[in-house]
Amino acid sequence: MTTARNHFRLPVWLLTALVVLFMGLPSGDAWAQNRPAPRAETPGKVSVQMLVVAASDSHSGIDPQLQHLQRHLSFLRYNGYSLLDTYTAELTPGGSSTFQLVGNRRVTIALKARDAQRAQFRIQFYGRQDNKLLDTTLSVNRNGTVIVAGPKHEDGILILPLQARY
Amino acid sequence: MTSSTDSSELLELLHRCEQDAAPPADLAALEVLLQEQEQGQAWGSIRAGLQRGLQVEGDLVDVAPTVLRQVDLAQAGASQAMDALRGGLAVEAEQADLTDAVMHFVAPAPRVELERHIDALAAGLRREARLHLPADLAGAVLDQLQPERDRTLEHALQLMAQELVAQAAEVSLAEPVMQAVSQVAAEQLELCAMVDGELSAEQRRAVGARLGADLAGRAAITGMAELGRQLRQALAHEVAGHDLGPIWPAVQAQLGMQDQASWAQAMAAGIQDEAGSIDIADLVMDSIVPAAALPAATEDVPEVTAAPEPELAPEPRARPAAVPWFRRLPLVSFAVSAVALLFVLNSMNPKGVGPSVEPAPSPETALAIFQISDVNTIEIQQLEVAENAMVQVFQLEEGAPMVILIDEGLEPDTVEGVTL
Repeated sequence: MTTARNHFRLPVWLLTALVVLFMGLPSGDAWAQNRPAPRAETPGKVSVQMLVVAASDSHSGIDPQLQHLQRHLSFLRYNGYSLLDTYTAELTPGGSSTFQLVGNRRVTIALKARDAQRAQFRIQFYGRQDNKLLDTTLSVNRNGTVIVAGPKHEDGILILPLQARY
Repeated sequence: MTSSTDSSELLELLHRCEQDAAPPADLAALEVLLQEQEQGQAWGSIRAGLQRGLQVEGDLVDVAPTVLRQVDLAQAGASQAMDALRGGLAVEAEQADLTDAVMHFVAPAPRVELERHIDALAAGLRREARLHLPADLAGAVLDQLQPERDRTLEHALQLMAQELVAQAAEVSLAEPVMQAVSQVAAEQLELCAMVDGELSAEQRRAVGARLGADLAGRAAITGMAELGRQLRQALAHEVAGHDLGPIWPAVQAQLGMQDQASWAQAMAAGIQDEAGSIDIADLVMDSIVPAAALPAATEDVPEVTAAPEPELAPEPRARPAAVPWFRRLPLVSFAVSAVALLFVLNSMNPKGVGPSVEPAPSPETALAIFQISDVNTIEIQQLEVAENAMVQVFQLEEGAPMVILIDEGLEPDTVEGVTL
């Protein structure tokens, strides 16, 4: 008996790993929130979405997915705009997320506070050498957008439209 | 035109009249003869005056008044006098020098002009005095003189224009024009350079600081960027249907330049010429062999890994101690189990598991979610920028998203900054 039980006993390390993995999983509510549609608002949370757009002169034309941004990109001198990545994060006050960008850069966005009208964020931008180039705290109106632009990418720059939806 | 017959007939008639023996017909005849006699005397006087004037004065200018005086006196023989005058002038004109005569009449012209101006002035004064109005003499005078003044000014301007044209041929306008342009448009040129990325880091910082409080400057730089975008768009549209490939070879040929392949061949030939028969194989192998002969890496030898960017190379770390493969079995089985479990969970949850940082599942989802609102009010409460970077914050229009432009051009590995 003893031998048989020992034969079917899971190793302690495997049980520990499974527990850790299950703890890391989002709850069922969180899964429901992550689904694109229907969009259910979670009290206290702010959905942060950041696009990574490459502006370039090596080609002309704008990515069809960025047509609705064309008017807001008109201040740039570049001919072509491509969508490289889209990042999303659900943040609660005090929470933060870090987005890795091309060129070994990263952006950390922290939600400091929110109310019915505005959300306050802290945005930190780190350069190629992991040096912090920008550290700003700003408040955005509900569903408002702020655009961070300028990091060099190939023959152009990166444009990072940032939106806070809740 | 009297004759001796007429004179004797006239004397006989006069004699009969003195004796009161002349019939009425004789009186009528006497009257006709007296008129003819009078005309003859007038003509004689005219001819004598004309001859005297022509001989004594010797030029047309002085002859004319003399003759005209004679004509005035000879009222009865005016037609004859004028005929004689025309004849005499025609004869005299053939020998006369008209230059002096012409100049005689031309020279007094300024005096005539002055007199005319004085007359105009007098007319203005008289008009003012006549109207008994407050004496706006200047206005009245100017009214009178205006046509003359305009004509004078026009003439003066023509002369000035001619003189300027003559002088301009020897004057270089480039320098004063460029000086004026540089003074007027210095700020505009600076903004243009900013847009084109032609400023140094220090200059960009200075311009950025100035633009922070310069609404007009920001509007101008935005307009320049917009103009540039439109120009590029128009040019791209124009050249879209044209193959520009042959242009550079043609220009290259015009410049007498070789193409890239020719350059490479020329360089190779040059190196070969310089190298001659040198065999570099031994030199290369001498450099390689010592490294290859190094002992195998041990725990004390740091591992050197290749990195695409030197500054990103991780810190050298010690190679872990060699572990028998069977000692790693639990770790391998754990990794396999974790991967299998994640695979199962991911199949259950399309959004995946882990941190909240994740790429969007599909572009359609991103497009559906990311819609920029028409009203964006952003308030920056704190802003810190690294010393080697520059940040500009601007908003293109009211309600548009605020733009935070990071210029990381001062990083050591970059040459130039970002351009708008």
